[in-house]
Amino acid sequence: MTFPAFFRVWLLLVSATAIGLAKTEDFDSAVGSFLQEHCIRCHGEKRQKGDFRIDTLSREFGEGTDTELWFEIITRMGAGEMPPEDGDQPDPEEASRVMEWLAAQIKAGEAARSAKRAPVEHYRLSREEYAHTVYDLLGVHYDTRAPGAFTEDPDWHGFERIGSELSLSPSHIEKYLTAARQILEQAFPDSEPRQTKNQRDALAIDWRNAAKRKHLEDIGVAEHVRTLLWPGHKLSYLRPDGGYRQAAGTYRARIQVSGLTPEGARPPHLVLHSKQLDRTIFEADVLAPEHEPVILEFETFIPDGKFDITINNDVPGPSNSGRSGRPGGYVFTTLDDPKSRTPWQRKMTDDEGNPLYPFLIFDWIEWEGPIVKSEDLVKREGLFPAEDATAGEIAACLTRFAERAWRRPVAEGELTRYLAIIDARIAAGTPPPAAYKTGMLGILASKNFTYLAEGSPGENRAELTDFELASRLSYFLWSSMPDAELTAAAKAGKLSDPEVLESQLARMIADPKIARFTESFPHQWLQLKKVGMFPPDEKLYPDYDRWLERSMILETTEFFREVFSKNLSIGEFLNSDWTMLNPRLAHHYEMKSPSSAGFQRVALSPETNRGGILTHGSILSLSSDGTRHRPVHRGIWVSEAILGKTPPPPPPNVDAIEPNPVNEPKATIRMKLAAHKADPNCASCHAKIDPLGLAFDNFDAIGRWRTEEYVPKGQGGNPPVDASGVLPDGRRFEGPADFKQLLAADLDPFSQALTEKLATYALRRPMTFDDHEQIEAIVEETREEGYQLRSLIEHLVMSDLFQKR
Amino acid sequence: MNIQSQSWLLSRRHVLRGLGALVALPMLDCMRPLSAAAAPRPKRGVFIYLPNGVNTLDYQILQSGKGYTFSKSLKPLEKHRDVITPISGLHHPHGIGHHHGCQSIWLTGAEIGQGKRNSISLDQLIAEQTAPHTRFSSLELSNTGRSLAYNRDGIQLPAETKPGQVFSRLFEAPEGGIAREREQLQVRGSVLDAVLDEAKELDRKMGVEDRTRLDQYLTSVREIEIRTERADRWLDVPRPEVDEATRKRLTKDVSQTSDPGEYFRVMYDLMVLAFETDMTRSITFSSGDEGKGLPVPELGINQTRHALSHHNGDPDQLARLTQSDAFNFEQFGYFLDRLAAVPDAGGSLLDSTIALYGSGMAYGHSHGNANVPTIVAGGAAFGIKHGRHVDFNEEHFDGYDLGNAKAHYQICSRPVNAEARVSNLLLTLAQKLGVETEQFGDSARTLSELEQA
Repeated sequence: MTFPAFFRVWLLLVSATAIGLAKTEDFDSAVGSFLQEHCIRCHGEKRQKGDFRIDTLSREFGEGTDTELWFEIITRMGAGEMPPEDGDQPDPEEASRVMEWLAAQIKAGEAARSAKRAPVEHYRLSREEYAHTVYDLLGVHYDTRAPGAFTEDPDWHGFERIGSELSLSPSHIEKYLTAARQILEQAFPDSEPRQTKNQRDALAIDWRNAAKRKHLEDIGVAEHVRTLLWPGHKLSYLRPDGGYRQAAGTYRARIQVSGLTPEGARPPHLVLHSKQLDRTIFEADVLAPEHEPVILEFETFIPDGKFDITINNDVPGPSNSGRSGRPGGYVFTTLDDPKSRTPWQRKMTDDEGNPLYPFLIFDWIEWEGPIVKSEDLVKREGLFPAEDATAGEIAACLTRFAERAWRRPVAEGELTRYLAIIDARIAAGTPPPAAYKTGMLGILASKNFTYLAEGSPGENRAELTDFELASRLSYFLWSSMPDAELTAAAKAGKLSDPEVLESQLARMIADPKIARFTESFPHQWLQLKKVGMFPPDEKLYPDYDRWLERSMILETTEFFREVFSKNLSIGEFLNSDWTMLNPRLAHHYEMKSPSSAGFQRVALSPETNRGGILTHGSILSLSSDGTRHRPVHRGIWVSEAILGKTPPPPPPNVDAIEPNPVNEPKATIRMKLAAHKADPNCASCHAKIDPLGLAFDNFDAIGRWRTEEYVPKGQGGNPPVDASGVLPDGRRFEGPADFKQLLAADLDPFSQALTEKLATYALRRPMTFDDHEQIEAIVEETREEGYQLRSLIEHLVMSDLFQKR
Repeated sequence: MNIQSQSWLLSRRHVLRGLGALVALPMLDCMRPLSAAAAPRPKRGVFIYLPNGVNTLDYQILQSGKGYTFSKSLKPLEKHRDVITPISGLHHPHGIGHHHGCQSIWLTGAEIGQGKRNSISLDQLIAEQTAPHTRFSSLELSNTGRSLAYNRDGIQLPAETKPGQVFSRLFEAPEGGIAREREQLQVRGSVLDAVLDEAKELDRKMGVEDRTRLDQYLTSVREIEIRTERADRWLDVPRPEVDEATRKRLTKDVSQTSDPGEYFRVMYDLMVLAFETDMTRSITFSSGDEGKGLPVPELGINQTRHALSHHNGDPDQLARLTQSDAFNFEQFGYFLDRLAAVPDAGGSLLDSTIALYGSGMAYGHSHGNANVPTIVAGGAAFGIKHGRHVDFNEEHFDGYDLGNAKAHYQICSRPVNAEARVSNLLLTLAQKLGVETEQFGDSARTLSELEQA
C-alpha cells in the first residue's frame, strides 16, 4: 500500500532560500533538464505551488537543511505523487535515474553532515524522568506534578523528551533547588520522622454520629456500624495524620469496603482525594458483596504538613439528600436492617434484596508511615558520612553520590568546588551533616545531573561511550538512571559487546521498572495527553466523567502492555479480536462488564465494533473537540501516529467556516467537509487526510458507536453516518472494520512509523533522512520474525542507530 | 576553593554581621520603598486574557471615535467609557489560521510551531524594567497552570491558580523566620556559584554549536543568582500589613468552577492589592485557558467557553456565549472600579496602571483570529486618552453588516487591514510603561490613536 509522503519538516520549505553555487555543473547535467521540464513550472520563479520552490534549493547536499527537502522530493516522486497526474508524466526510467542520483548525493553528504555534529549534546531530563531518577538514586518519591512543583514539559508531536524542545528557564533552576533540598531532607533526615499508625473507622468519618460512640458502644452496636455512601456522597477525615502535622514520606494504607452493583449498571467507584494536594490519592471500582467486604491496599507519597483526605462514591445516581440517604436508625449497619431507611426514604433494594443503586459501604481505613523500605535504604548506603568523618571519608561519600547521580565516573578534581562548599560551611559553623548536604545539593543542581550528555568537547566521535550507552538504554526502558549491574557492565567496558548488551536488554525488560516504558511510550507516541484537553460538553455527554477519561487512557496503555508482555505482533494495534476493559469502559462500550474491578483482557466479537487501538475511546476522544468528532483531526492523527507522516498545516488564509443555518436540513460534518473540498487549494491535501478520519464517523466525540449523527438544530431527522471512503491509492472501504483490515493488510508502513517513534523516544530527537536506511533495516529484520513488538525493540537496541551518536 | 565562591560567601557573611549587630542595612537601590516625592511614579501593566473570542455579532461596536454606542455584550463597561478604549481590527499576522495557539502569542506576536520557539511576552519585558523596584518581578495568574508569560528564551512561565497560595507567597513571611530563610538563601548562593562555575568551564571548552542548551542553563543560573541576591535584600524589608478582613477574603477557598464570579473578583482584588502594596508592577492573568474557559453556573451556563464558541450557529448557544462574554466584561469592570478606588500619587491606581483586556481569537467557531476583541484601560498618567472606539477596519471595508453573519465572520477571520497588528499596540504600551524600544515582535508602528483626546 502506498501512502502520500508528506513534508516532514514543512516549515523548512518556507525558509528555503539559500542558493548553492558549487557542483552546479554536475547537477545541471545530471538532473537539471529533468527538473526544468517536470518540476520548475510549478515550483520555480513564476509559481511556487505549496509555497515550494526547487530552483533556489541549495545544491550542497552535505549541508543539512535543504538536503531534507531534496529527500522529500525523492519520497514524493517515489510515491508517484509528483509530478501530479494532470501534468506530463516523465519516463519512469528517467525518473528513477534522477531519484537515484539525488539519493546518492544525499548519501555522499552524510559524512560531511555528521562531521558538523555538535561535539557534546545535552538532553535535559523530563519531569517524569527526574522523578524516576530521584527514586532510583535515593529511594525518595518526589511528585514533580504536584501543584507548584515542576512545570509541564513541552512536547514535539507528543514526545516529551526531545532535546531541542526541553528548554530550561530560571524557574527550572529555582524548582530544582527546592526539590533537591526536600529530596535530601527525606533521604537523610536530621531527625527520625515521627511514625504514624492509626485507624479511622466508620463512625470516625460519619460526623453526624461520631459523638455518639460511647452510647453505641454501650448498646453493643458500635462494632457493627458501617458508613453507607450513596452515589456522589463525599465524607472527609480519612487523613493519615489524625490531625497532626505528619512527616513527609510514603504511607501505606489499607481500606475495607463493600461495593454493590445494581444489575446492568456501573459499580460504585471509590475515590480518595486530597484537595490541598490537588490530587486523587487512590481510586478503584469496588465489586464486593455487602457481607464479604474487600481490603484494598495502596501506598502513596504525602508531603510534610496537614492534609485532609476525602472519600467519595464517584458515580452518578440519586444523592444522599432528601428521599435517599440517612438511615432511619441513625447509624447504618446492614441493608437487611429495616431501620436502614425510614419509610419515606428512597428504596435501596428490590424485593430480592438486590441493590438498586451503586452503593459503597465503608468500614475502616488504616494508615502507616512514613514507611522506609529496606530496598530504599540500600540505595542510600555509603552516601552519607558519619558526623566525625575525615575529609577523605567525606570526599569518598560525595564521589560515590556524584558518580551515581551523574551516571558516569567523576574526573580527578571535578568535585573540588563541591567539597569546597562543604568546607566553607563547616568553617562557618554549620554542623557537618548540614554542610555535607549542601555539597549534595550542588551535585543535584549541577548540569551533570539535569542533563544527559553525549560526546566530549573537542572531539567528533560517532561512538557512544559505554556509560553513554548505559544511560541511553536505561532512560529508554526505565525512564531513569542505570542500576548497579548496568553500570558495572559499562565500567568493565563490556556493554557495547553485543552479547552483553543483549543479555542486559533481556534483564531490563524482565525488571518491573519496564512498566515505566509500557506506560510512558504509548502515552507519548499516541499523544494520550490530549485526552480530556477539551472536556466534553456536559449537556451533550452527561455520561462523561473523570473516571471514564482515566479508564480510556488506561485501556490504551494496558493494551500496549499486553502486546509488549506477550510479545504479540504490532498488527494487533491496528486490528485485534480482544481489548483491555474495566467495568467503567465496558459500560461505556455497552458490553458485558467484567466481574471484577481493574482491567482484564476481553475477547471481542465483530458486533462490538471494537478491536485495535483505533477504536479505543481514548483515541476517538483525543481527536475530537469535546463537542463534535473531527474527521480531519482524526485523519491527521492516523497519518501521524500510524503512518508516520505529518500533513502540512493548512494555508493561513482559509475562509471562515459558516455555521449550519438553523432552517436548513440537518447535515453531518462529512457533508460540510465535502463543500470545503470544492476549493482546489484545500482539496489536494484533504483528499489524502480526510478518508483516514471519516472511516471512524461511526464513533461520536467520546467514542460511542452510532449509526446516525446527532445534529442539534436544523430541519428533519438526524442524518445517517457514512463512514465509507477511498484511500489515496484507490482502494475502497465501507466503514471502520473495512478500513482497519486495509491498514493491517500491509504492516510495513506502520512498522516503519512505529520504529521511527521508538527511535525518537529512545534517541530524544526527531529522525532524519540519514536515519532512514537503518530504520528500513530494522523493519526488514522485524518483518522476518512476524512483526513482534519486542523483536522490533531488540533490533532497535542492537542497531547502529541506537548505539551511535 | 575558587575565588569567586569565596567572595560570595564573604560578602554574605558581611551582611549577616551587620544584621547581628542590629545595625540597619544601608538602603540599596533595589529595595528602596516608594517615596512619592523622590521616585518617579511607578508604571504598572496588567494583561488579562479572555479565551475563545466572543459572539462577534453581539460584540462589535459599529461607530468609531467618540460617542459610540456600546454593543450588547460590552454594556457592562459603559460606565467606564471615560477610562477605556475598545479597539477593533487588530490581529497577529502569525496568529491567523493557528487556532488555539493564539493564546500563546497574545502577548508576544511570535511565529510558533515546529522548531520555532515563542519570544518574550510584553509583561516580561516590562518586568525587566520594574523588577529592581519590587519584591516580585512579576505575577503570573491563570485558571490553569498555563500563563501568558514567556521569558527571553521563549519559555512559558508557570502560573499560579489559587488566590490563597498567591496571597501567602506575597504577604506572609517565610516559615521558620528570617534567619532560616537567609541561611537557605546563602546555601543557595554558594551552590549556584559552584554549578555556574562548573558549567562555564565546559562552556569554554566547547565549540559554538551546542552552546544553546548550555547557554540556557548558564543564563538561568545567573538569573537565579540575581534573584537570590534580591530576595536576600528584601528579607529585611518588612512585608506590608494586610488587615484581617482582606486576608480572610483573599485566602478563602473559592471554587472557580462553581462560582467563577467570586473567583474572578477575588483574583482581581488580589491583583489590586499587589499593585497597591507595590509587590509587583507587572501581572498577567489568563482568566481562562482556550480549552478550559470557565462555565458560568450562576447564569445557567454549564459549558466551557470553548464549547460555547463552537456554536454552529445555534441561536441558544450564541445567546449563552453573549451572556458569558458580558459576564466576563462585567468582572473586568469590577477590576477597573477597584483600581479607580485606590488613591495613588494624587490620582488613582488606575491612572498609573495600564490594563489590557482581550482575546487572541474573535470568531471561535471557525478559529477566526482577526479583528480580535481588545480593550485598553487606565494609564492616564502616561498620556493615554480614552473615550473613543478606535477602529482599524474603517476605510478598509464597506462597513459592518451584522445582519450578514457570513460577511462579519469573514472580517473576524481574515484581516481587512493588514497593517493593524496587535504588536503595534503592544509596542505602544511597552513604550508607555518605560521600555525603551522601537520594535516589539512584528510591530510596524506605534498607535498614536491612544493619545488623541
